Amino acid sequence: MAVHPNKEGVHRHRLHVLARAVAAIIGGYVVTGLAVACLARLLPMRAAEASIAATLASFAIYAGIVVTVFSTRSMLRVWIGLGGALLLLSAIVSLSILAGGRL
Amino acid sequence: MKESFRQSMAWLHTWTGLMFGWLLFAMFVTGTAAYFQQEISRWMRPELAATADPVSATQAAMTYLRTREPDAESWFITPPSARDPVTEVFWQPKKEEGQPPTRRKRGETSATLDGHGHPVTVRETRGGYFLYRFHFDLHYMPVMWARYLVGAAAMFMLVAIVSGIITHKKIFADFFMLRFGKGQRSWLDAHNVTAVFALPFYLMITYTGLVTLATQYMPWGVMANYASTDTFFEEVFSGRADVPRSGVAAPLVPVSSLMVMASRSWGGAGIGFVKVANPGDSTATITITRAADTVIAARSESMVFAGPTGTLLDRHVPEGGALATQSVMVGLHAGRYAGWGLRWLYFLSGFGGTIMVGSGLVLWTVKRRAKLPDPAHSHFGFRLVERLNVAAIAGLPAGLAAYFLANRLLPIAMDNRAEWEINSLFFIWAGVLLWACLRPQRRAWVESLSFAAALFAAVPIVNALTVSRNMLTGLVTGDWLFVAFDMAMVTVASALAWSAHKAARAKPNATRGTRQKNKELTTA
Amino acid sequence: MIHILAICAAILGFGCLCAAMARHQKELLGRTLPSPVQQRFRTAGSTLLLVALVIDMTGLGTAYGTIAWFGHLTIGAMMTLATLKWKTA
Repeated sequence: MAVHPNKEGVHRHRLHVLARAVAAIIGGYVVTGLAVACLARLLPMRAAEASIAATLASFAIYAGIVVTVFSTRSMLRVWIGLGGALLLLSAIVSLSILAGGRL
Repeated sequence: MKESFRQSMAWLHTWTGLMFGWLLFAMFVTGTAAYFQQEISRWMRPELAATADPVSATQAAMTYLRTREPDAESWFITPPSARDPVTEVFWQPKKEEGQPPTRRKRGETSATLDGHGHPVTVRETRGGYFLYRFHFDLHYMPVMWARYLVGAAAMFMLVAIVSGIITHKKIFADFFMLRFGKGQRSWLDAHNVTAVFALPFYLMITYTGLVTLATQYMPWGVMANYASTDTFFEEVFSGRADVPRSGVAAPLVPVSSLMVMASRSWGGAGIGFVKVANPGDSTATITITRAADTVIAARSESMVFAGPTGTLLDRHVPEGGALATQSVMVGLHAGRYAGWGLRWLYFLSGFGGTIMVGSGLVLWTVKRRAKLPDPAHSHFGFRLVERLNVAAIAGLPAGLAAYFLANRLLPIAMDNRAEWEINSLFFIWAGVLLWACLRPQRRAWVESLSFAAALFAAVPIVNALTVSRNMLTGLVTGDWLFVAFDMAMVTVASALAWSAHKAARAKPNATRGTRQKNKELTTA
Repeated sequence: MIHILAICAAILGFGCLCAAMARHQKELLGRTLPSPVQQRFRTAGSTLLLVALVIDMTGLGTAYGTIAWFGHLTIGAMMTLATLKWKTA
């Protein structure tokens, strides 16, 4: 990572890193959880199997999101991506639960 | 970030590796040791020499339980095996009417028996089992917190592995590259080599480790389909609902016949577990579970028999699909299915992982030290990492040796003896941390590594002075456990002594010219 | 037993793969070998690693053998590296 030699640059750099870390760790966890819930509801197998299959995949999904957050050039794209995923997945899960079945 | 994908992955790898590096080191050390937890436990209970026949031992254990807790809700019996000569029993006491379940201490609802159903009279110790539990439950903290910490560490490790693979662009060209005496480059080579040589193992062990506690870390898959995790577990895992006692007494059939029949139907496999629900009642059931050392899947098959008649009521066969995959993943992590050859391969891979994590931690400081504007006055973060490195890499092994020494040296009749063995481990570990903070960095490494080496070298000596079984008697009588254990202690002591020697002879801080060159190095 | 056989195949296999690399040829022989020779070493090496897998799967079972194979590869790679270091010390 490019290191700025002046104090203000260092400060900005640290905030930047913190923002990425928060996005990756917390944002990533939330999106992963929603993705897992979606998979659990939508996978075409019996409920217990779908729940477990989704859970097994979760860590790969989470790792993928973290790597993506840290390799995306612009922080704005990170927030848009996470936010968009959050909205889309929440919508799917909510609709699926409203539509009934399984739970 | 304005740099390339590979560069950002190099950054990510460095920081995910560092943040949980010390905890991961401890997890690797104890997890690796846990592959031989039964052997360690047997070494720590040298009074136990005999083996026991699992069937007669279980029958004798039932007699003991009938005398001690005839009204219990259920008895649980772990029969002896080739690697563990004792019978472990515990029970769920009868619930008192109208009273909330009381939290009984571990010792009040469990016992360790010999092959004749009598409680063993050996020194109180948690043996190798403690190292296994520490691996995910840590110590001195609520188990839930520990598991969250350990899970976070594992997740960081998974990201570290992925980012490490992405950033190590010359993974094939540099496969056999190990240069000695080149400072930072040598540490990087060591880290790369140990990382790449057992890469499939690390990927497997990290992912399956997360899967083992997946419902705690990611309950959302279950919660999306079930009102609560309890309803999920009931649907999938409980065989029969718990039936209350009928009050009609009925003696149990001899469990030995059931064990023999179950074993035969499983092609001669051993018995891992026996559960008796409502013992002595007409509603009693006996559940016999197959031993873990015969199939990879962690959840073994079981057969449920009626207690008074021995009629087969139910069989739990392996599940299919996702549930089977999960069961196999947990089984792969625990490695209980492994025979001797594969068990040693697991152990060596785990040891490789320990070196990988340790060399990564040292590499971080070596790399940073080259970039320090003034090596004599580094900033707090750097000094902290240096001290924690010594505490982890030299301190934990020293603590481990202290654990073994305490087992031999603490008075046999002492109160809370097992707890004090464990406290000794942490006491010595903390001592090394303190020492590392007080001493100049290079001296700290040399002295701490030498200290750990000395403690390990002391183990066979103290053992020979306090107990009648040791490496020499072992060679004569074929007591291979004691031969192997002493050899392991000597090997570890030698490795630590060699490391201390190398640390003492390491080149002093790089001159400005070399530091300038190091600045231009990028991670391979 | 099977473990020893498979480890031997793995050591030989990684030995060939190591010998196929110009960098290590220079270390061991002081010169590089011609390209067709390198290619043959690479083929031999990969084949031997697969032979190790076949040994493991035949002798230990499909699943168990595959798992053991990864461990044997680790040992094979380690022993090859140790030999390389010893020969070039």
